[in-house]
Amino acid sequence: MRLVVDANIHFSALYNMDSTAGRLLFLATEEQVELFSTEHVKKEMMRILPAKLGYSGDEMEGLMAALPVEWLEREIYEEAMAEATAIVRDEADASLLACASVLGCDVVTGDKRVLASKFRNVKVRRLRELSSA
Amino acid sequence: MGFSGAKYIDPYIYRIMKMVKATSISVTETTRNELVLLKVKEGYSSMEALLKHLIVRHKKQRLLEESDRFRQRMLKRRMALKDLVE
Repeated sequence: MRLVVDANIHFSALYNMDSTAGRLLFLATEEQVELFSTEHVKKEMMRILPAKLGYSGDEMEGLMAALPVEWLEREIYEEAMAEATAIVRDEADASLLACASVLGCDVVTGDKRVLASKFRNVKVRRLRELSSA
Repeated sequence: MGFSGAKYIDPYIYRIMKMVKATSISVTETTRNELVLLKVKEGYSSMEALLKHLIVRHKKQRLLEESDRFRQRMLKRRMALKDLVE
């Protein structure tokens, strides 16, 4: 299974590795699921964590390397970005939809705006939907 | 759905391409012997299976370390997850 994951999923997992989000990341380390995220989400995390939790540059680098996620560059999902930004204004949120559309997989997020959005054939799911599937 | 960049390789295809190409690594004899011993003792079917397992263990350990740091910072600042994403 391939999924595009939002920053809030990373945060939930890191907060509690025994949570559903944590288990999803563990599954990714075992290559039972393929997780992708976007350059936009990465930038968002690199902005939030130093500002709110005092992460240093080295700590950020270590964290990003430890997450079992493939970070996709903007060029990969660029063609869908303009259309996605018309649906959800926030660029990081739009990047999730654009990326999932290009890869042909679902988005997992806890963000209400993204959950309520309709974009091409992209399914946006909550983590709990995924665990009950 | 289409791709605008000609250089793009689907990550799934890329992974398959990497999997089918076997290669060798250079280690000291001591390390080699330790790996062979570990493989036999733990009952792994191949060196590939042992190394794969060690890699997964390492990745999980790293995640736990990062989770520990993250949680400590959150607790120290008395923050909830919602404070991060606002």
